[in-house]
Order: sequence, then structure tokens, then C-alpha cells
Amino acid sequence: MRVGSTIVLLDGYCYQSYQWKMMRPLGKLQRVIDSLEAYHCDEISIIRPIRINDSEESFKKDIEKIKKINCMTPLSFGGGLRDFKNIDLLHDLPIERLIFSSAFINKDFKLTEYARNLFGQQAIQCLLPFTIEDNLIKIFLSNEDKFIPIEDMDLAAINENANEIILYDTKNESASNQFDEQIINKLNIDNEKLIISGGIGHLNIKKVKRKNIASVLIDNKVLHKEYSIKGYKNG
Amino acid sequence: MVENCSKCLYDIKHPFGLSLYKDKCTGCITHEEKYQINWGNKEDELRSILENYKKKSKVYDCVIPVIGDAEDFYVLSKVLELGMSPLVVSVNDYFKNDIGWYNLHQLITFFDVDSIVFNPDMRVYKELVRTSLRKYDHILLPFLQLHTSFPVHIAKERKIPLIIWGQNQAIEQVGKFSHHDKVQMSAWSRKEHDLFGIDINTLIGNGAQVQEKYLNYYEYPNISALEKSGVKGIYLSNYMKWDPLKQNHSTIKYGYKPQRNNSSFDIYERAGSSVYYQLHDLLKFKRVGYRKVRDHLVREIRHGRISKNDAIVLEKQYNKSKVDINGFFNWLGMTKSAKKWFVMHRLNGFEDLIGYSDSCQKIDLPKKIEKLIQVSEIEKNEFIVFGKGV
Repeated sequence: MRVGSTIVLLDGYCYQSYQWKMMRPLGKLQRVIDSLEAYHCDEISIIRPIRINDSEESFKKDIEKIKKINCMTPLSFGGGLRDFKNIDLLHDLPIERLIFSSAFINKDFKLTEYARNLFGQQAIQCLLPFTIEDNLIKIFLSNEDKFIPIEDMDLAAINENANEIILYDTKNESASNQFDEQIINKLNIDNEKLIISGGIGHLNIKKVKRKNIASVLIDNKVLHKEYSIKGYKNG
Repeated sequence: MVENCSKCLYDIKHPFGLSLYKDKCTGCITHEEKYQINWGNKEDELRSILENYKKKSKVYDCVIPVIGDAEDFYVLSKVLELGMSPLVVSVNDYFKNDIGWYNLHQLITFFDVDSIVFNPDMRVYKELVRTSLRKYDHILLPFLQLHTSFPVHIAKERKIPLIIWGQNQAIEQVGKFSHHDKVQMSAWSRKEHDLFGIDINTLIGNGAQVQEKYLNYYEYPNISALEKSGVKGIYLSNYMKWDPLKQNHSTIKYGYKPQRNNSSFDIYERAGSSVYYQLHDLLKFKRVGYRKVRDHLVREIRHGRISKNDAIVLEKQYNKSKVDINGFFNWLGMTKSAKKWFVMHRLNGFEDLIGYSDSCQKIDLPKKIEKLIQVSEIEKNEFIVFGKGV
């Protein structure tokens, strides 16, 4: 199982996101990446926290930052990949995988197919930001800034079109050992395709290791402690 | 458009980074945690962490990095109260005045602790200060490199597993992390916050006439080796309700001497420095757009000792205070013409703030602040490169 980290990037600067609401500043992208590499992070997901409003200017600013990244660790990137024009801007970036969220939830498979033709099937990841309330799973639809029932989605099509699926616990984001593992059993998706994030702690990692999932992405906490990744890997 | 916090004086251009959430900055939001946290529980947590480190090393349980500041007195008093056996480690910045040396000596003798004071090679240090001034308009970067790495080297070399720092500035000023995150010392945080992204290699670049073999202690230890040695660094402000002005005021009972200055009402922070409220403050104004007094006022707004409106008025008054830069340029060995060139080209627009005033200006302060800053002294001698406070 891979152990990686998420980075929230907006307007060229990195942030930490708390409970999907508040963002605290983190630092400059290259410095953050340098430390994650030094900690032997297996992968880094750079996510733009985009809701309804995204501007072309902001997207381009972030792309410019990513273009300049010096990094050996596999990178994935998403947040605001909503039309063909956005995808065309991703050529020649040092990223291996693309993260789509609204496109999959809205069943806009033309967009993901377009990306797949350009970057290959292995490059396509789906991000499902979720919350579980009263036993009901809701998925956050970022381009409408609201949670929708999971039943409104075509999970089978997502399973077919996405190479990997990131389950992101929004309610427990930034907490420790709070990732709601119920979600893994409740969705009918191959565990080998799953990546989990949001509130991940050592205990979560210990438990999910047995479930044979592909990867865990630590949110925020990787830089809170020197060489923290090793602790998670040994978790 | 620059976005400002509705509660304090900071805007999103703060050099540590700052976010706004519902018009309130992350610094103010994180400060509110101080009134929600059960600090008794946090202190218990601290006690249990420290218990794991007691008697792990043959002689010392922890390293306390100090400069002889009021905060150091407070931290050391707490660490001793908690039953730890500390080694105090200090780096000579060569900028201390008589009060600075007195305080450092008083800290060590009052608490009767073992200490190491590192005196860096003066020629190398001065060359780095010169380079730092030329490239980054900053004169304390070489000291900050040492202050944040030398104690870590000492901990690693002497197998002392814990370093205890006082406040985490990034939390106190801009709320970069929650207190609940319990962030620890790291190479990333050092570079991002203490060094403003400028590590020693960036600092020397291709401009400084310094041989790398002299820079060992300016560099942070290799993090992989550090991890193997088991050295960790924690911040007391994650486990105690941090109120610097109140805490620093309380250190007078240990013999700490505060020092009056023209640039801020805070007589405790960096008292004993010949440059902190002088050229360093002016360069900060140039680099980030505000002087140190803003950090102090923001802190006091958050602690409820001054209103935002009164703080705005006070900041305007303090922003007019003049700084004496001659002492620093003499220390650096710059000629009069070089100084003139520097002022003309690099302090262009700040000439009105350069000068000497022999008495501290009287500015009316709110009573809640006034009562915490009653006794203070004025330095007699500046730039004492080696000294003892006796």
C-alpha cells in the first residue's frame, strides 16, 4: 500500500483544509514538495479546492506553479478540470495522474474520455468527497457547492472509467484517526482501486492495510512532524 | 485589493501567509482556541510526553535554545517546574548590549543550569550578515540560521532526545496550525517560518566570500540522521495558554531586565539587542510593509488589552519613531561613504526614520497594557561582542 500526501493549492500557494470549510495557509509549493520528497512520500496529490467559482486566471496561475515543480515523486493534479480547454493546458506538466470530481459525479464521461485519450487510462483518478450522516452517504458536488445523495451517481460507470478512486472524508478532514472506514464496505468498488484520504491516522492505516486498498493520502499532517511519513508507513 | 482581517491589523500579505474565513484571519480564529481548550488536560498531556524523556540521556533530559529573552526565562522556569534537567544552548549574535548580556547571564545563574554559548567565527558571521543585508535587506538571517540549527546539532551530538521551544510563532501570529495539531519542530517549518525560505545555501548563493567548511552549524542536520537519533522538538505554546506580555512581565521576579525602546511599547521581547528595534525594524518595515509594533498590537488586540481602533492610532505613532543605524554600520566596519550610499539607494523613502533620539517617546497606552510594562531600563553600551552580565 502506498502512503502519500495531499496538498491543497490555490492561486499558486499551498493551504491546509480543515473540515472542508476553513483553510489555513501552509507555504510555497516547491518547499512543501521538497519536504514531502525528503520524507519519502510515495505520491503527492495536488488538489485545487474549487467550488462553484473558478477563474481561468487562477487555474492558469496554478498550472504555472506546477510547471516549475522540481519533483521525482509521482504527482497527481485536480480541481477545476471541467472542460476540454482545461485539459489542453495540462500538456508537458510534471504530473502523472489527473483527478476529476464534478465530471464523474455529473456523468460527463466525454471529458474523462478526452483526458484518457490524451494521457492514458492509468492517469485517470476520480475524487469522491463524501460525508456520512445518519448512515446516509452524500457526495460533494463541487461545481454546485453542495452534497448530493450517492444514489444520484453512476458508481458502476465511475468504476469502469476511473483507474483509481479517491474517497475523501470531508467531515473528518484534518482530524487524526477519524476517517470513516464504513465507506469502503458500503461502496461496491474494487479495493485495489481505492485511495482514502481525510482524517487519516496511524490507526486507520493499520486497519485498512488488511483491506488491500491501493493507497492512503495523509491530509495536512505530514508536515506537522519531522519525517512523519515513516511513522505512517510503519503504522 | 488587499484583504484585511476584520478583528486585527494583519492582512493576507503577512510573510508567514494568512487566510481569511468569514472576514476573520486564521490568527484570530486560532487565538480563540485558547479560550476553548482545557489547558489542564493539555498540561497533563505535556507531563506525560516529558515523562518519556526523563533520564533517557545520561545528564540532560532536554535542550532549551535561548537568547536571554524574557520568554526564555518563562520557558526555563516551566521546564524546571516540570522536573526536567535541561541544557541551555545559546548562540552569540554579536548584537547584544549590556542588558542583553546581563539577562543571558542572569538566566543561567538564577536557574543554576548548565549552558553552552556558541561564538561563531566573527569573520564568517560578518560576511554572512553583509551578504544577507545586500541580498535580502535582512541582518538577522545568519543568526536565525544558527539559532534554529545549532541547538539541534547539540541535541543530536550529545544524544539529548528532546528540544523544548517556547512559542510557535506561526501559530501565535497567523494561526497556521491549530493548537490541536501539536506541530513539532521540522526542517520545513524552520525554512518556511524562521528563515523566510532562505536557507544558508540560498543565502550565500554565489555572492558571499565564505568557505563552506565553516558553515556546518548554519545548516540544519540531515533529517534522516536526526530521525534515527530520535531527537524531537516540541513547542510549549501547544500545551500552555500562551500570553507573552503577561508571561514576560512575570519574569521580572527572576531578575529579568526589560529594556525601553522607541519602536514599540513591548519592553520584553528582544530586550538587550542593539539592532532589533533599530535597523532590523526599519528593514522589516521596508520588506513587509509594517514594523514590529504591529505584531505586538495584534497580539494585544487578541488578548483583549487594546481595541483595534486604539491599536491603529498607536501604530501610526510608533511608525514615526526614528532608528539609529550608525552603531550597526560601525560594527560591520562600513565606511561613512558606504553607509551614505546604502541609505541613499537601499533605504530610499525611509530617510525620515533614520536618526538618533536620546529619550524614549511617551505614548499613552491602555491601562491593561500599561500595568504590565511598568519597570524598564535603557542600555548603557551597545554591540558588546563578548560579555558577561556581571
